[in-house]
Amino acid sequence: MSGLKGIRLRTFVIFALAALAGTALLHTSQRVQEAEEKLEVLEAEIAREEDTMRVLRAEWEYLNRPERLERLATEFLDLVPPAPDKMPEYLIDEAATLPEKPIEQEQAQPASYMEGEGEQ
Amino acid sequence: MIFIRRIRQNPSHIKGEKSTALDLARGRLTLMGGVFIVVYLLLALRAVDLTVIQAKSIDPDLRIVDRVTQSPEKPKNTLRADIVDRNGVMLATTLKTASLFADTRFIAEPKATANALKEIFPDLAYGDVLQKLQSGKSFIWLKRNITPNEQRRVLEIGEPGLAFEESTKRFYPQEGLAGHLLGYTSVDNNGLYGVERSFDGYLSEHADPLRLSIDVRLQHALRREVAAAVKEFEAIGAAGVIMDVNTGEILAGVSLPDFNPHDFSEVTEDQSFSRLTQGAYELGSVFKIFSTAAFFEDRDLPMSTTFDAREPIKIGGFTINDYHAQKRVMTIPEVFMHSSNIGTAMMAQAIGGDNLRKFYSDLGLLEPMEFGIREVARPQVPNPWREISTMTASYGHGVTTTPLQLVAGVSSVINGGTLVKPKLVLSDEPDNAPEIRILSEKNSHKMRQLLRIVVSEGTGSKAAVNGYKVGGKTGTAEKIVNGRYDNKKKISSFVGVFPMDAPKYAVYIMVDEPIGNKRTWGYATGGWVAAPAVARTIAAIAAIEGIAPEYEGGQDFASSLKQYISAEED
Repeated sequence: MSGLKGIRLRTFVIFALAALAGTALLHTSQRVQEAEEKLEVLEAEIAREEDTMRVLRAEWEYLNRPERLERLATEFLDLVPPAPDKMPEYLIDEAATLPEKPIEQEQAQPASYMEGEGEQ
Repeated sequence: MIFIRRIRQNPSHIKGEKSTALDLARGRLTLMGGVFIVVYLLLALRAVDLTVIQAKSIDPDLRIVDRVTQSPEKPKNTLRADIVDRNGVMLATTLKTASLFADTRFIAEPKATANALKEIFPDLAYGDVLQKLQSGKSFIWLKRNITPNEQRRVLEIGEPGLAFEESTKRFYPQEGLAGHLLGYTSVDNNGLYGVERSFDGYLSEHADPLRLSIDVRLQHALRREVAAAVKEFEAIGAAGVIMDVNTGEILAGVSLPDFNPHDFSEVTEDQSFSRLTQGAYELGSVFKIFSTAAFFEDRDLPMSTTFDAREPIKIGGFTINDYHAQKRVMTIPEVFMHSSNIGTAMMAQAIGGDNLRKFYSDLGLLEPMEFGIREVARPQVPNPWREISTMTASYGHGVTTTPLQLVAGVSSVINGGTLVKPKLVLSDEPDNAPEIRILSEKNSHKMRQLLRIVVSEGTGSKAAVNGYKVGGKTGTAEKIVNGRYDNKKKISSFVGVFPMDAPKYAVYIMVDEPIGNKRTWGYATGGWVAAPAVARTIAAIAAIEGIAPEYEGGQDFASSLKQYISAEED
């Protein structure tokens, strides 16, 4: 009989575990389903936001096109493009101001053209 | 199964009918239990292996798998890729737009709805809309491509019979600013022209924007100045380009008249024709840059070499004359700065037709160019090439090429002598093309000096910009009308380069059929028409790019040439 009792206890434990596992599985699957629904909503929202961003960016670029800015600046501001002799320091881009090419020194004596031998 | 059969067949276990059946059942149960245990153990081991053991060796970037990018039924980006300029400013994009249609079976109040729609879309006619709404059709278009704001207002009408269909539309924020290079697409978003056409495959397959070499700020400045020249000289058209002389990148490219890519169906042939790439013209004296460079390459002769330009050259019933006739013996700098056809033709004669033609060809002037777009013309070369062809080709007649090729050729000559090709699309991959030398450093330097004196002393003085070392060359060619040169119809152009001692920018402006005015004393030549426009463009470039002006005391880098220029000028 002890064998039977042992079997009963074991069966009970197994059933209990199975029920527990089942509940846990159901719970998890529900959570996954919920998360998936939420994900879908979020994805749709992101797609909408992205579309809005595209439209806004296009509008921004359209409003900032140089032709329009120039027209507005002429109309409303007392600003003109800097003349070469009045260019303010802060506008000058150091990198854009190129150094002279080193060949300049070699060319200082035009007489060197005359021979032209052995020069490259 | 083999195992079970073995149990059943083993005679030592058989003690009777009943015990045999029990034993058999138990044996089967044990076996099944064992199989399940083994399988579950395997599964458990595999789970541990995947989550614990292998997890550490998997690239961390791959651990989080993006569901969106993974699912094949939902590609991440189905929109045609954007096109941006070199600084990332948007040139073309694709927007989702809604189009409004009506299912008239569900329209509750046609009159009120028609009124409300007219309020939102002033261009719709009340009667027209009402007629559509009362037509009884289940699908009828009311308005294509409406804005999100308009869509919201339509929804606010609350009419159940109005509905939207989503579609995509190509939008060009800069409108026609770089229309000929950028191109346009059809309503189905297929590229029909320009980069939209030549990169159609890339644009429809990639999500990353395509980057062009254009800079919209420079593009605008160039277009403004070219348009001003067209207006001032009542020209039928014009072309302009700004090129980085060291890379061949097209920083700006304009052809006028141009068009708005949004209304491509209304574009006329004249508007869609790109004078920059599709027009092959005889471009005149600008070609002297190439023939003089070829002369230096072929004959290592000093600047003091003289040419007798006292008499016109008569050859084969043809007379070569000088426009700015000096009627004297000239040195090379004088020939160049006064743009003497006679002197240049003599140089070409000295080096010979084959050499000159080869030099032009090496510069890429004589073949259709291969670059970002397919709308390119085929240059025309005299066939057969006679001696007279050599002489006229030296000053840009009898040979046609496109303005863009010409600028690339000039860039190659003055950048130190390495070949550059026009480039419109920027790539992240480094350019591994071998450097092709077409001119020695020394001769390239000579050419820079010659270009400088054209502006500081010669025909290009109107291109001078205070504070910047500008060099350049004028070009004026007569157009052929009914097989004859017509001296009323000119192609007037100027190519400017700066800063001349370390060139970075080449600016070319060509004006088609300009008419001289009072301010130019009736002249419509390159020096009067195109050179001032180039000067204004260069001043704009300097301001936009922030290039410091230099005021050096007296010593110009080309001043060594002054000894070869005689003072007796008028």
